[in-house]
Amino acid sequence: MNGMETAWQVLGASVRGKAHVLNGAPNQDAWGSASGPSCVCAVLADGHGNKLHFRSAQGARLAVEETISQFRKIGGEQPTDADILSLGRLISENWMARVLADLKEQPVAGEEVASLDPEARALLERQPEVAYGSTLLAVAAAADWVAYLQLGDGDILAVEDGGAARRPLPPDPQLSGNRTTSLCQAEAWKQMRVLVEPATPALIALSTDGYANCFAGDDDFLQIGGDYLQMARQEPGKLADTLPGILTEATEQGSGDDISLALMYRAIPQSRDARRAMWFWPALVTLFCALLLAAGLVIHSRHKAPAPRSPGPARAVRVP
Amino acid sequence: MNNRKLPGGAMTKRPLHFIFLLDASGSMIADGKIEALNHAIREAIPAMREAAAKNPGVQLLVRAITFSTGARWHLAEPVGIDTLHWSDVAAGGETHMGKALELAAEALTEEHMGARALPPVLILISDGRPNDDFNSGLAKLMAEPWGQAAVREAIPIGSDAGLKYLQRFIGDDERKPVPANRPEALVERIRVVSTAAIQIASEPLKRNPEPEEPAEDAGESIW
Repeated sequence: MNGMETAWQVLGASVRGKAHVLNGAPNQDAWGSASGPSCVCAVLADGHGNKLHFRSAQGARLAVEETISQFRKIGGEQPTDADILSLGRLISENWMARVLADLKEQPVAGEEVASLDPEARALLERQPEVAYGSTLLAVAAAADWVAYLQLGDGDILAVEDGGAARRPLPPDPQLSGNRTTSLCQAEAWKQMRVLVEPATPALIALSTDGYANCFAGDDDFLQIGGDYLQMARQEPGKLADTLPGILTEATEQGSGDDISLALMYRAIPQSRDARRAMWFWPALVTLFCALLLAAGLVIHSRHKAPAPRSPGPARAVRVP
Repeated sequence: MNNRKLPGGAMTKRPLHFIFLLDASGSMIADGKIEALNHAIREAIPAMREAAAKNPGVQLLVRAITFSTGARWHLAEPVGIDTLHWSDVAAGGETHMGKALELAAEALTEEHMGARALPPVLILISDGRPNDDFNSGLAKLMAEPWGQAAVREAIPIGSDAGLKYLQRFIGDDERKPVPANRPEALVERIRVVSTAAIQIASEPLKRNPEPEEPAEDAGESIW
């Protein structure tokens, strides 16, 4: 463990997009987090907005549930990229099984496909899972490694102590315009991007594409990394309270899309030595002060005459 | 309105680039077609504003290319739909449709569009057949990823329009270009096609563009 301790905190929020409010559509994002035996994880899913994917909010929820249940199993050893991809395969296959079970329980109703054209209806008859289409972003963070997994659009940023943000995963050339890869595709796991890094950034931000699409340019978006790191370190409680409001303002000023954001950050300090330093010196100073105070009290009590308990007649003092 | 500083840099709505490609050849002078075209675009603007307003995360930016002998920008800088005032297009010359597609392709490069753009909308309106290298122009347009991703619609004016070229521009045999044979029909077609295209481009993950089904123009043809 390299003298490091897992000190990851996770907070997040998901808000309904302004366009969704206007059009009566629900928030089709989902997010969640959990702690495992040696790591913590955060998961986001963005259900597709098109009417073809009319159960995508459910698909996103199932994606988060399934991913958390799989990521919790990650053991103490640093996994490999292949390990994470294997988990990704399990996630996509189990997601599909959950979707098919859901369809069996709640078959597609006529009113759900009433507004679709014949071509779309034919597609859904062949592949009803398309109705649940969703992206997936997941990060597991331990003391000295971080595992990233992503399918489809959205952003994962790793933010260093100084506030510089980078994307650990390579870009996916398949994502252009409004198109994305999805869990509803056959063998979706083959489209997943995974990476395990020994590096442990100060903060990791996962966001659905509705957030990055709020910004004028990529540099403007990347600035969120340093800003959130500062906020998380200064007033994490306040950040947790204000995050839904921040994201709501963002969707109103920007993309109009649903926005979900999960922040994983290290409580300062990161190393065991630094942690020891954090409590050791204040404790020593406190102990020293307490000893000084006690000594002072003892000296004082020996040199000061006791005050009379009550005023009374003066007693004669015999002087030898 | 809360004036707190939000995390990150400058925010903006997602740009949706909408480009008219307009036939300004000499044949458009006949029977008042060019006047009807200018009038129809002017009439379509309020409906385009409404369509944009339904998508609060979208910044609709309009440009226009005209083609006659050669092609040129009629509206070179993207103009927000809220401040768009249409200035009339004049007609005269040949029908260099291919050049117009090339000019559009130059505007659809990754560099010009940026990463946050929505699929652009291209509306091609013509009353004739191209007499330049249409294939080359279309190839250049389709060589650009944003050209491929674009919502492409076409409106033929009158019975002499080159339907097969317009069909190839649309790139989807399921969607036939429906001719507008009268000024009123042209107003309606531009309004319907423009607003539908805006909606399609604004919607995320639109796999199969589904514009409003065009009604056959049942009125008397004057073009």
